[in-house]
Amino acid sequence: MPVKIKSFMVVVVAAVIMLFPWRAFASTAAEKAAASSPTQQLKAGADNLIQVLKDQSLKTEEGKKLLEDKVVQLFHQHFDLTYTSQMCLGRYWRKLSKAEKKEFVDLFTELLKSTYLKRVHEYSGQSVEYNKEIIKGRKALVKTKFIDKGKEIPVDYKMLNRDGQWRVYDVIVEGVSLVRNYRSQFSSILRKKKFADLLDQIRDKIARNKAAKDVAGEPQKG
Amino acid sequence: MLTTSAGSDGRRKWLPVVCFVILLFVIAFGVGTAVVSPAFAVDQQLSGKAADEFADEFDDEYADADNVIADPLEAYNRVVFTFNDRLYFWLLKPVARGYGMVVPEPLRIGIRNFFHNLSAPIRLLNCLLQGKFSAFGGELSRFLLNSTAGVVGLMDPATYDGMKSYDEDFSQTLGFYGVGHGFYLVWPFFGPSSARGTVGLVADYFTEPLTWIFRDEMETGLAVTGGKTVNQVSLSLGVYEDMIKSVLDPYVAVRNAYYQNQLKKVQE
Repeated sequence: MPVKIKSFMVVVVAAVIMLFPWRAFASTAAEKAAASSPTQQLKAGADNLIQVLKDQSLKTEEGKKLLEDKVVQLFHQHFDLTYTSQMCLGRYWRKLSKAEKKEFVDLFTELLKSTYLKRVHEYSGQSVEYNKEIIKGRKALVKTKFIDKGKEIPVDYKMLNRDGQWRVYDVIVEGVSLVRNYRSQFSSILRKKKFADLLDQIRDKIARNKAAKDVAGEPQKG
Repeated sequence: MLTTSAGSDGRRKWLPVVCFVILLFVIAFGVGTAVVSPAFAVDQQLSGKAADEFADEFDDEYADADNVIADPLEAYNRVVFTFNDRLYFWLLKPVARGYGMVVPEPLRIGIRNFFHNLSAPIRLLNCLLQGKFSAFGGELSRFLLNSTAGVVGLMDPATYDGMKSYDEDFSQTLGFYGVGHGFYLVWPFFGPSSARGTVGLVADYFTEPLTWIFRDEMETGLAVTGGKTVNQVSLSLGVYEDMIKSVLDPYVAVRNAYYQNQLKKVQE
């Protein structure tokens, strides 16, 4: 009799333990960030970038690689390139296998990195004004203004919320959306060629970017 | 219900262990799923319902992205585009760079401000044509302030004071009244345009004060326009290069960017 009650008690305790919302106690960066707005998260990323670029210890020859790694890490943290890739392919995305999707995302990320990573070094603290924020469900639009050389350049960011982290999936400069622009190129290629050909073109472009001189003087062929 | 003493002893031994294991499992599950960092989780993002869920909800956002400007003259346009590209890299850019090394940036910004201020009549007229009276007032105030306190437009106190600028031209006026672009057209030197854009360029030419100032000295006028262009380019070196580097087809990219930018300008 006592054994039966004991085992019953143990089962009850086990059940209570299993049903207890342990997850509520797991406090991570993602869940802390859930409380912050898209603008706040974007600004945090920008501030971090400025910190990294101003860090004197990273301006040495050895520090350069570390600087690049840090910038890439920030890039991945604040940009949702999976979603960007999906939006850039439009209706073609659904037809891809998971492996093809991953390959595309990786290549597209590499393409963007091979272009803009070098440019980051030239950021000299142009001021940014955070103007407006519009949130619709899991998406948000953050409107900012870059003030460079006395000129105001409107830059909008479209962000997506995954588990409390708001990440950028489209950048719109002077009304020109990155996603729309790539989408027009990709659909123009995919209309006539196969997906594998598109991947080849991206690979080719990445290789040419890496080989090209940093200081332009030669026409870059399209 | 009948248990032998041997059996109950056995149960006493493994039951707590099982409960402990269950407890561990629950904790690990609860904490584990919350700790995965989204930063590098491309695999996670691609798997499961999550990715397609977003696709269904939000694909409409870019559905109109496949609406593009008509380009029946693409073969011709591509040739001109290549010509302009060479012109930029072989002539315009080297000249602008050399100029930029000699003339200090604040002065070049001043020169840009001067020319921008000078072409105010184009903006004023087109604001009126579109019935945008407050924009007209705004541009007029800017013009007056910059021409006086801004020393004939060299400085830009208006922007400093937070006065909004209204960049209107005849092509936008036509767009405002529902005139479509017609088709894409690339001009040598002038760059991307359209059927409507060309009409706009011609109209703007006649409302640009520079045209009338140098009416009797066309060559000087041309030189001044050339200087204005070099100055402008010297302040935005690298923009075109970046775009070329990051795209697969510069011709398509520029065409699309032109179209998107035009749509946005007409909307304002």
